[in-house]
Amino acid sequence: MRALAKITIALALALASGAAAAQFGGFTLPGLGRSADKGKAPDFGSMLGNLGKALKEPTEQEEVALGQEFAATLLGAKPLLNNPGAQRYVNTLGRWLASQTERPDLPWTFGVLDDGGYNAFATPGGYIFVTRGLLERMRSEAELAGVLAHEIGHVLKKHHLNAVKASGWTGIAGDLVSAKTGGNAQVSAFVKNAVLKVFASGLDQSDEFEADRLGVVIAARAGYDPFGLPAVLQALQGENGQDASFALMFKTHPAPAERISRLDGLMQGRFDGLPGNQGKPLKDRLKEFGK
Amino acid sequence: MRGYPLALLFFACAAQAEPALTNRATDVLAQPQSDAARLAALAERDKVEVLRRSGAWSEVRTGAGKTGWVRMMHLTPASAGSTPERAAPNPAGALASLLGSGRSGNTATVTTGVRGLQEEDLQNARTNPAEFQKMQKYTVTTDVGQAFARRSNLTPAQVGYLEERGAPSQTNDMVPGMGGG
Repeated sequence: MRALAKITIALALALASGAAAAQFGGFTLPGLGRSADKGKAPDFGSMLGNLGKALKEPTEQEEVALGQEFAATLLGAKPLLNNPGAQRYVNTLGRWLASQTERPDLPWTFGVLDDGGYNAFATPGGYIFVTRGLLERMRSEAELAGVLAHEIGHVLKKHHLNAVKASGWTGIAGDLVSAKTGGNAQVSAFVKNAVLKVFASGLDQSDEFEADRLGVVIAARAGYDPFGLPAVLQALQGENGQDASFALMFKTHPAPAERISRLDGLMQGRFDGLPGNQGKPLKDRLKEFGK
Repeated sequence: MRGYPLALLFFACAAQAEPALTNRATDVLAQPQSDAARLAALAERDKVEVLRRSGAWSEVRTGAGKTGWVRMMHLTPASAGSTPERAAPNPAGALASLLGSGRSGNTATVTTGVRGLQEEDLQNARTNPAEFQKMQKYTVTTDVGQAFARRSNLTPAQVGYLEERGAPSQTNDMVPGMGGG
């Protein structure tokens, strides 16, 4: 990680002009205006900026801006559940979980989608969603903590960002931060493809296994029973992948049995000494936060 | 929440026995801890009823009627791998009504088979910045999360990340499960 940072700094120095453009979200030349507003005029400033970006890691600001675009697109497919108590609850629980990680200061935000299917999504930068259908089927707070912690794990390791930055990132990185969410056609086109890639086709299986490993530990750090996530996966083992409410989730994740067996091998005996707090019943939480 | 019979609420918290099969030979113990007395031995694919779970352990009733604790990872839902003839009752009916889904009506079950978010929904999705702004209003600070943990008696624990199999793992013989953050 540190070595990577050094390389990045070296590259940034070598490409001082490009790095400067990245810093300010686009090179503005006198009389040309913001790159997002330009028509077909050649945009040398952006090209220079993009040259720098092609060789350096996206900044956290860019990561967050991309996540906001992902989130706005997902919310275009399904709106938020109209239940402020449930929204407050997942944000509070989620923030507590996220604060146990190495990236506590991302703008962590959680949402319940008004969708009867069973799924959960993470975007770059810390925007995380669960569906109403998933929330309804959680048997304990520890299970929900396990699901949220798995999604938080994806954000920690930048799985979604890494999956999409290979293709076309350089074309939009300059506009991402400066443009308003949903306000730039080029960015929107990139985001649409990226959202389909990560949410409809799914991440690499190794990313899912890694998020499982992180998820059980994050839940345990937050004081929850770490077996909440395995219990969710076990329940999924009993569900039918052909069922329309589970179809997308099964399509984009490794088989629950394989995920459980990997966790089993790693968790064996290691978590027996933890308190195993199941949290409060969800129906109590919904009332508590519904006030 | 409003006007739903109270019985609905009890349905969700009532322990529901779920049939499961052992996925390996395992022991039924008197307590949910590995050094507890052994009550019975189960073979692979023995059927049990799962009564509840506590951490790494599930309380089960065996075919012979004995009740005790089995490692939860040693169990697989009996319905796994088979196609249920009918939609399984979902014990989350009460939650559905609390969430205001308006789908569960007066029954305590949510039927499966609801068409959830699909690829074509994502294909047809148009960005919705207004809804995103609404979402941002619900975000809370770290302090709010910490206050929640305190009043919920959630005690943070120092637990090291799990290394992938094959990767060198740190050994910590003193406190299993506890490692450097």
